[in-house]
Amino acid sequence: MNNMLESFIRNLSRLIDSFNRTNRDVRGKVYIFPLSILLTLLVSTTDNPISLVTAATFTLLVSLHARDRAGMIVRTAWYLALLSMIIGLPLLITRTNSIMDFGQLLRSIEALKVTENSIETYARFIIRIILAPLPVLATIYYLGWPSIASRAYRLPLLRLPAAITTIFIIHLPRLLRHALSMIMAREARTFHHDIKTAWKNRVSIIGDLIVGSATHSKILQYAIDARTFNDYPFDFEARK
Amino acid sequence: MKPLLRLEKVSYVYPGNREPTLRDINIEVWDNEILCIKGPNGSGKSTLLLVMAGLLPPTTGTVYYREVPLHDQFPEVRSKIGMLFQNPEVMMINPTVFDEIAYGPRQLFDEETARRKVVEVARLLEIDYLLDRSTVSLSYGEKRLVALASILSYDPELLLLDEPLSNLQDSKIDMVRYLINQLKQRGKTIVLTAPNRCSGEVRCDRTLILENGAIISVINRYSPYHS
Repeated sequence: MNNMLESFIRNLSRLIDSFNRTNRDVRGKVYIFPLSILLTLLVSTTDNPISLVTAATFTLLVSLHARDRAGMIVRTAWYLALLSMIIGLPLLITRTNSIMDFGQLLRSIEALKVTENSIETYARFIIRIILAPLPVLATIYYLGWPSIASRAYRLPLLRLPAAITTIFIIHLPRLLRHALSMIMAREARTFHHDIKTAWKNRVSIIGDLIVGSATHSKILQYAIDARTFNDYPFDFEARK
Repeated sequence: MKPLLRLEKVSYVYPGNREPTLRDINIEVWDNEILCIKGPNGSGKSTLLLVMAGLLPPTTGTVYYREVPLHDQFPEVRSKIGMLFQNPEVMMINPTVFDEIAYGPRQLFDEETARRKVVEVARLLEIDYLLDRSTVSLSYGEKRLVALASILSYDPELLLLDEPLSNLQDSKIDMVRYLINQLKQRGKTIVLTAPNRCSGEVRCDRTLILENGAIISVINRYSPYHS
């Protein structure tokens, strides 16, 4: 369990880090990024089978082009599947048009059976959770976030969202790695390996993590302020 | 002659702390000097630089820039001050090294001039081969050089460098030392911090010793005595 948690955090930080790999072979192909956003919007707002198939085909094509990065795309799809399978579990026993309070639920617990209809709802849910973000994520893996952001910086309207995403992509893996090193540091000095101690160790990092991330974000804010010569960060036109 | 920067009775207490991190600091930083601030860990060196940069408003006292209160000159005055943070990773806010170094110049100049300034500084620091790279993929030493380039690129007159020589390879230490001395020759004013050991061969005009947030000694290179 411990190794599973550590490996999850490590892999998540690697996945986000790998957004930042620049890809020199894709210059001129950045136009597929808006297309991927469009597909993501389509899949998130409708459950039309055509949009699902289009998003899947798009992701597959990008993965085929991405070659060495295809593994990352598959791994991301696997993580999304795993998370949606856990989150979506109640869908297996949910009935349409029947909202029950907790008392009714306890009285009719035997009526909550898995049906063909509920399995279909569950499967649709998982597919949509996987396919909604995957076109965008696959495109970022393929093009590399720096290539996309560099172009977005040239358009004033996209500059701020691109900058915020960049800061998030750069600094989130750091926070994850910090959490991981705190868990490992505690474990290295723990000589009784039972579940209770392991969870105590994990829970004890939360406070440190909150304090650490607050301090980090404050210094990050100072660093941005120090090089911002107008009232709005990333507004490159204001002082010219 | 007026000082470039003057701190008058400056104290700073971090919110939630009882003890001040800086106590009654009075310093004048003169044009075209190298001032070195030394002291043990936790003595308040980094906080002092943040106050000098105007990033932390002093709890008591005033910071003057060219004899005008620093906070009355925001945000314009920021382009005259370059602050290198101790941890260069916090300065990485852009996707590529080029964008990182261009962040300051893009606010002041057109894209073509900004590009020229980026290339000039990158060549000066011998990091031009990194320009296309992502800021995440750099080593710690490379990040430090990119962070330094990102402040030199907009040509500030006052440079506040928080431990600029730490975590650099020996060859890069020599280069940064040489660069700091060169910057002084070009008319820049430099305030740098160093742990108690030494700031190496940076030719500091004055060295200020900080302990528990207070100045305990000022050593003037041109005077045989400590004042």
